[in-house]
Amino acid sequence: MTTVTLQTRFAGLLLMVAGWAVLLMAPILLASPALRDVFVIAGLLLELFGLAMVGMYHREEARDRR
Amino acid sequence: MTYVDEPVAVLCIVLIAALPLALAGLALLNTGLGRSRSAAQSLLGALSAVAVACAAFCILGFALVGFPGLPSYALNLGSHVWDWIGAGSLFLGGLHWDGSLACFAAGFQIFAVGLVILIPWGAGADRWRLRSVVIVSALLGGLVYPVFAHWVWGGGWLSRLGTNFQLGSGFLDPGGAATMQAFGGLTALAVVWILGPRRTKFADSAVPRAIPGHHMIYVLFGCVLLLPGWMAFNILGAILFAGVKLPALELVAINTFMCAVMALLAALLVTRLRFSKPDVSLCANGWVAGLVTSSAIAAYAFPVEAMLAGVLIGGALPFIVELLEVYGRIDDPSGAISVHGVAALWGLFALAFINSFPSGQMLAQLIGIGTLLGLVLPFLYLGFWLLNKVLPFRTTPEGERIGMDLHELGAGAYPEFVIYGDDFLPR
Repeated sequence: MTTVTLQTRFAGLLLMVAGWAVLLMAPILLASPALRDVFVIAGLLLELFGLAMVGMYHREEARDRR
Repeated sequence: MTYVDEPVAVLCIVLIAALPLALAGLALLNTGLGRSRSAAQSLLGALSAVAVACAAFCILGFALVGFPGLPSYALNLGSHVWDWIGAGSLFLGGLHWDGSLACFAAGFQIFAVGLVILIPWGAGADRWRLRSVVIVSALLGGLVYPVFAHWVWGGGWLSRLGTNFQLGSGFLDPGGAATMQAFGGLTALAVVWILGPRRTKFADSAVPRAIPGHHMIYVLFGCVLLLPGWMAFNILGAILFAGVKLPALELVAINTFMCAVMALLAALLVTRLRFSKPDVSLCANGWVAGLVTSSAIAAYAFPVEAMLAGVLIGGALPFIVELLEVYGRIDDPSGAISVHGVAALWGLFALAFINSFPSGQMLAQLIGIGTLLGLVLPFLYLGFWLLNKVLPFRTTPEGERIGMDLHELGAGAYPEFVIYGDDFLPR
């Protein structure tokens, strides 16, 4: 397991939480429905990107464990 | 405090008595989809996990979940109230057992938390130690599940997105698609990531090795038991959390059944076309995925909408299972992540398209889904990662080789039969 993949896991987790923060801020800070939509979708995409990064780490780990 | 009239109270009591059928069905399904040499440990683990989780929920959990009208801790920020956690009494102390909705919600959630812990238990089959699942059950039942359940069912901030920010009717989850199914499915994902795959699953080849379930009769009988249990969860949830009145409850039962039926048929057709014969475990998972989707929509949908949602998830399920296994290298023997996690998120998303909710409902549903993915999952993962350092989740290689029954219990589930093959032999 390389250091890069270990960092990938924690970066992925951080991205997921950051995505949630973006998503939560949308209704609090924005009044326009269109802007709220954009922020919520952006937050969700950030979360999915983080999820994919953690998934990539565990995919490599499963290969190493073989 | 809201009370129900006597016929509805009687119905609620009958439905609460039917809820354990869902737990029994899921425990059988998990056992059947695992290996024969871990069958007794799977069922004993299911009983132990349910016992511990339900006890922890009664002692502490319900105090943190609460119910609209019961005490809670909230932050008043400007014109918005952010309700974060319940402030009830321990041992179900604040309830008077007088036919209030809060009393029935407590009964409902005692079994709901049992179902939640069975979902990751199936995903970690054949390698998850009994002692660590007991600790995880206590933490989930007493602390983690109640916090999220409060946000959705206890008058918490997700349920108030409508009143605080004009987002439809707030985050809606009448049958537990988020609080039970998606929460359980994401817990399963975190557990499977921490445990890693079974030893022979990805051995020698880039293509994962099929490790078929050992008892398809358990699996299919489990599916049969799940149906009445699920109907009870959905109807009771519709009464408690969606305010559906008595005459309309029949529609909730029909929607639950039709969603499962159509998901099964779609999974059957897809597996028949792909593999030239129907696949039993994928069809069973299709049935369960239909039930899971119905948890989100059954209280609000018309039968045609429930059937369409069922067809879509049942048809997609074989591909989702394959995607996770082949590309994600995730070894999930019971398919819990796809069946409970993905199907529940699909149902919560689809809910915004049905019925005539006030504007902003889709955004409220997306914020609920985003909270599960962006807050609950990382929190569970980090918690399990830390706990795994103290109390290893995974059994030893020897334990996995001889099976969890012999390793943890000292005796097999089928002592007179040697029915397993050579998939554990050194290659």
